[in-house]
Amino acid sequence: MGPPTGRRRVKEYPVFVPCGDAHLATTITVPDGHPRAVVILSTGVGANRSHRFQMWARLAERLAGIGVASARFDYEGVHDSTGTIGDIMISDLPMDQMLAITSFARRAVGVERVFAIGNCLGARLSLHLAGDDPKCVGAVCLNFPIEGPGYINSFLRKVVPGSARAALKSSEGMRRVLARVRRRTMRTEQTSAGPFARALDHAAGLFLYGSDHFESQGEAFARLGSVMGVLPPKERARFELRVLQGGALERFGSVEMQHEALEEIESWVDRRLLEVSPAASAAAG
Amino acid sequence: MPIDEALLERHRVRVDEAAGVREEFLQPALGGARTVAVLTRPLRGERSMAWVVCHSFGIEHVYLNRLDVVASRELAGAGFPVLRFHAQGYGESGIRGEPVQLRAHMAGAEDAVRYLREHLGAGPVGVLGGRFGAMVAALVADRMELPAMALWQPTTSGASFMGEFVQSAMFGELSIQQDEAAMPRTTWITSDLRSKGWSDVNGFLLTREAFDGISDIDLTRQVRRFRGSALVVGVSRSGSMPPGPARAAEHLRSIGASCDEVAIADIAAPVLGQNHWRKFGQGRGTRDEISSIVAEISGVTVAWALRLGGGA
Repeated sequence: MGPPTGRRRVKEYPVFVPCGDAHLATTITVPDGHPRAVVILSTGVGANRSHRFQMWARLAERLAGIGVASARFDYEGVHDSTGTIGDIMISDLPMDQMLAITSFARRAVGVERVFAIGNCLGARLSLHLAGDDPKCVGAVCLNFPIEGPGYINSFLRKVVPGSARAALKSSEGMRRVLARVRRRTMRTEQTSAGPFARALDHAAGLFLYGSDHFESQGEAFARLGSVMGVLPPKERARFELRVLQGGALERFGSVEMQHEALEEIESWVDRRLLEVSPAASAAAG
Repeated sequence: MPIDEALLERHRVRVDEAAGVREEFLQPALGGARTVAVLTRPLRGERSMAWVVCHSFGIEHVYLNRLDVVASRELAGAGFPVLRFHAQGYGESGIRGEPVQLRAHMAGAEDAVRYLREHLGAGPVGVLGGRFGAMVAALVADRMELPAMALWQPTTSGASFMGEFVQSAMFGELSIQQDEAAMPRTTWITSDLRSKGWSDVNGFLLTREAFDGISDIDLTRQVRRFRGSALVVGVSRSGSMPPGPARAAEHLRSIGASCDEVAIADIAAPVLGQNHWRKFGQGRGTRDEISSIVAEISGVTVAWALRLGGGA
């Protein structure tokens, strides 16, 4: 039996990629013919390499359909990777793992041109990879965290058990009050122009959010706008922010949203490749 | 430059001398299509008895995955080959973006048992699993007349499992729902299942076929022939045996199986099968709350498997 009707037939190689003392479980997906580029797919904390609802596995198939290879991986200490993890601090980006996967994927598929696509923690890794690697031509950052949880959220998490929190939220009036307080106490992350400037110097960046995230975090997005505002016009022109309608992109919370995100990413990568190498893309296509 | 197949082939396998195990990625056809499986084997002194891990349902598959992985590696370190795999519709399996069905879990597990027998020449094969995976393991052990099963935090009733599944979805929905006047999601789920035959449960495509099929499972009715050895592990805050695992153990004994029970006390017991990543320090860090449960369950499973033997 092959893939279901309408699906693209691709070749996939599950491998263990060495990284320090650990081995990172990784899947390399390759298209027919010579790849136009290789995409590094990274997830948020706790997700497996195929990501929720197989989003990255499905994206890998779509990318292969436009001639692009990809690598998706489990972080050290989770799922099929080896090693252990202690506390995961927001300040500690596992760039060593991102770089190990990038280097291995390049060797395996024989292309230097890289894209980075990530969700949440993976979005931060993707932006940094784009900034540090001159051959990275694009970063797609889903749900890039620009705001930390508010004090009221932290307080509730500490003192109210999960079931009681859910009960509180089940009251419509209480939810309204909590939402207002939560918004007021949110802290904006220390977002500087540094990583953006480094990435947009040579790469293009697409930031994707769901409409609910965008509507509830207006102040944070205004801050992001001011960060982008200090960049030179050429760099700024390489940045796009898209808001997908249909609610929650966080956790890929609806089938419709999943479909919309996959479509958007595939067509953006394809367009970007046409921009950076129209001749090679035409030959590959 | 072409794809470096030799590089990829070399990295399909890893060897851990310190743990005494070798892990290999495989791509067998299980449950009707290609999938990814991991075979973990001891480097020395391999026993003839092998194990298949049956994973849980929906997003629980992700939340319990590390338990499946750690237990596999510990068992292999103690001499047992173990095969874990993604059922069709999950993770790295060949069926993608389509609804998950109960039959995918069952057929995948049965094929995995056959695969071990045919490709590894394994002797007796046992099955393991957590929560819904435990239900699948019990049903497969009964159907295939397997000699052993280890059930971690099992429930005997598919209906109560689906009830919890829907309730968890409701809590998840409340935390992200923006339209405060919206209808509670559980109402949508049941009404969607009735009217359309499927429901979008926070991104998970739940079909009425899967809902009804799982709801119909009652291990006390459907597991009747098993006469082998069973381990039932229950986890609770107090350390007392939770009702679901206690019922499973009682039933297995009542049909003539040999059944060992172990109750584990852990403060994080309620999140076993749920999202176990908790933020701390005002969101500055994230911590895995079930790592000690994972270690304990793996430890008691290995100790029990060694008592069973399985031929060095």
